[in-house]
Amino acid sequence: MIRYMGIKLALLLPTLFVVSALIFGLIRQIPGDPAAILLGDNQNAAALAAVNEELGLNDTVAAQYFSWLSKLGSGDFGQSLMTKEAVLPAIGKRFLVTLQVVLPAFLIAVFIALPAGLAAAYYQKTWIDRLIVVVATFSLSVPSFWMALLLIYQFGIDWPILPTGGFVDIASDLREAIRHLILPVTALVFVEIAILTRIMRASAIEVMQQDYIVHARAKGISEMQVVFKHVFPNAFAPSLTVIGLILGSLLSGTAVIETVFGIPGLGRFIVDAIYARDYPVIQGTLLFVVAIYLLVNLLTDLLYPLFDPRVRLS
Amino acid sequence: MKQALNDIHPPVRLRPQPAYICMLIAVCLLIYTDLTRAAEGKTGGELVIAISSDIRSTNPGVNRDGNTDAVLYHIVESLVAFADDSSVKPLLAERIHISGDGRTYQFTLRKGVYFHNGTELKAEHVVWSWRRLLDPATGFRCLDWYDGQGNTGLRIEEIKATNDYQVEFQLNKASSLFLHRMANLQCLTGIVHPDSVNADGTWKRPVGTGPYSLGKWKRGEGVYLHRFRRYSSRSEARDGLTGNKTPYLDTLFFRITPDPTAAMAALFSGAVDLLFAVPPSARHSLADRAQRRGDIKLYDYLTLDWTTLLIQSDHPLLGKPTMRRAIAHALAHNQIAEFSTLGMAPANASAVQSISPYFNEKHTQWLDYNPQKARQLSLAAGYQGEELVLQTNRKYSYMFDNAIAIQAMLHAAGFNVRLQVLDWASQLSNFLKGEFQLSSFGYSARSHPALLFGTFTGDRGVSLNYQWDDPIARSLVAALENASEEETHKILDQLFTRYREQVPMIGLYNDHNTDVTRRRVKNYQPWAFGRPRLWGVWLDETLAGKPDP
Repeated sequence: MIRYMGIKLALLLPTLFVVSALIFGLIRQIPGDPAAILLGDNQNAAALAAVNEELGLNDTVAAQYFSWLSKLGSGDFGQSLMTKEAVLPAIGKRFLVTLQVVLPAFLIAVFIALPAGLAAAYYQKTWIDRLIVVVATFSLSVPSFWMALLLIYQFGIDWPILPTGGFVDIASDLREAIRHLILPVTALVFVEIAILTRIMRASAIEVMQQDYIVHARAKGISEMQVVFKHVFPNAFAPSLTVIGLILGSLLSGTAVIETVFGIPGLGRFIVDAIYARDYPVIQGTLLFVVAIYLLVNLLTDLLYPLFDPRVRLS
Repeated sequence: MKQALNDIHPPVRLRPQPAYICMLIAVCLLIYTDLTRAAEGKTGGELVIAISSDIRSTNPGVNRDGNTDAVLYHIVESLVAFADDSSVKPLLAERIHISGDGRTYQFTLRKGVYFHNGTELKAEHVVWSWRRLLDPATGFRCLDWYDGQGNTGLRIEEIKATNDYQVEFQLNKASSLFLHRMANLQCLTGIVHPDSVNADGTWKRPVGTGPYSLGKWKRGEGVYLHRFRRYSSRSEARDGLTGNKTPYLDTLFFRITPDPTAAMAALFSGAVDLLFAVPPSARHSLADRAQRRGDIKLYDYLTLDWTTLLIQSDHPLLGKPTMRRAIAHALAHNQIAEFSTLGMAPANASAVQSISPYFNEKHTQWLDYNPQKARQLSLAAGYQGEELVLQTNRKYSYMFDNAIAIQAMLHAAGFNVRLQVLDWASQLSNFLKGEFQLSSFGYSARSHPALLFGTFTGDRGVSLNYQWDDPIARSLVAALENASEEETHKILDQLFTRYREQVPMIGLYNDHNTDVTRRRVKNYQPWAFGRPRLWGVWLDETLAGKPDP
């Protein structure tokens, strides 16, 4: 296990190196000049050249890349072109905000979706199954921004019991933080729950058709035991990969939800940086996101044998 | 005769009853109290203003955008500022004396003006502030307006304090637009205290003289400003960014609300008190809400922003004046303005803004809408139905709406036009590199038409963002730099006549804005620069959440 982890962690570095080169090159292919955005409509050729010089954008792309890479080694992700904020601490701050939204949403989604998927599979082709499938399909079809706006109008305006947006840090005021999190978390849960429910249902249906389930029932053990001891662990293992991917994507920021609710998280940070062509922020944040994905996948791999004994880490 | 009338109508004499006197005093007191309240407002409370994105910095004129400026001009003040009519009036200066040769500007400062750290404003602070701005290391975005590197060649040769309350600026040449540049909103020349920077000269936080001081900047969330209790206001009525600027609100919170629909929801719920420059598409539902519920109030006004259609002058076909005139004849200006602003702004093809004192009948004489003539002219120019690409973006809704209307009208006149919707950064980059055929564009507010003409008139060999490279036009624009009022009128008329002949680009209209406040917000007044002014504004908490009677 430790050797496996070591190998996987060692592989992270070359992966990140390749990804960093890709990110660096691709961003510069997008039309749009950070200096022009910085200057707005008060600009001329001389001013643009001066700002490009100031931002270090007059060097060759290769020179810029190696300069950036050399600083990365010492943990310096650079400075935002627009706000002059140090990138790494800014990512850290934004990531903590995203965590406060994503983790509750993810946990709630998992705790609702897994039993729902299991129930749908167990009661397959009954009204319970159809109800769960219809609700899951509906929530999958609803765009998250629309759900967010519906929630805002319902609980922020028509029945004004919750704030329509903004963010309060859990550490500063727990009660207000929870009030501010309810709507964005609900909007996120609504979307994520659908994917997980459908995957869990499909896996569980497949498992329930296996001979060992028939055998277990033939032994006369209770249905509860059949479901929770035999069906659930075997059905959960395939869902774990998807759960990992969902968690990775959520942790890398939920730009739409963060934009609608005005939450200063990682997703909005990336989107704003892309619009502003803020290269250091885009590079640093995307690299961070890739690292998150890789770590979550590693974690998923490590957890897999716990649920599927057939899988051995080697 | 008098006696006769008295005989007919004997004069009635009221006996001074104590009850009457008491009633009279009570009425007088009520009127006085009400007038006092109206005149002085109520102090206290927090006003929340929605802004679409975070501010770039707290360093005025250095790292900025529109939202940054809107926050910072509440904190710092310049020697002069724009008035409501876009003229320039003193702000920190008590009076301004300009020498006969127009090269020396002497500013006498108001006494009793304090910085947020309690220090009294003196001439030495003005000198320090300006020297800092003119130091290339500061990164002042409009340095070339003052260092001789810009297209006007204007340079500040010396700034010196002649006594504690008097500063003198020595220019290399006369410029009638010097004060306009000094008052410019995009390049704030706010006077700050040396405490604003660290020991190594790097920026710390603005210590200005404005009605509000910087509180906390929570990146990604918003900026808090606090009432400056020692603010020394001018005595004149509120006028642009000058006049009476008494702060009433304890706190201003510029809250970042990137999504326009969410911003409206926040306004309806009372989480936000003010939305400014809402897109025309949102105006209808806001007006409906205002009429139905009466808990919000709309403010419509014309701005100095100018929307345009840019035509690539280096293109073999589009560079021909005949082809450009053909395009101009294909566009019904009034309809475009009607469509894009819902009838709120009149068409204006001229760079002289429709609310400018320099605007006159001549500037309304644009090429008539005549699709038939457009076809004939385009054929004469050699146009054979080739596809023309019109660039636009979704960030600025009016540019997109204009592009839709322009495309439809050009189609109707036989032009084959395809829309290319880009993100703003790409379109702006293409504008600078001259990589477009047609571009739906806009210029932000300039206080003086000369500044706007100067923005798009120039040598394309120097910069491709100049749309009009005509030697005569350039010399006329240069002449505006040092023209009297009368000469300015004449030159602007000449420029427009030449502009109409050559059609370097097509002006559409000066934009219209709608600002919206909760009903509890009192004495709010928008102005032509399209950004909120929050001094002189107070909250009437008794009206919070209640509809209009």
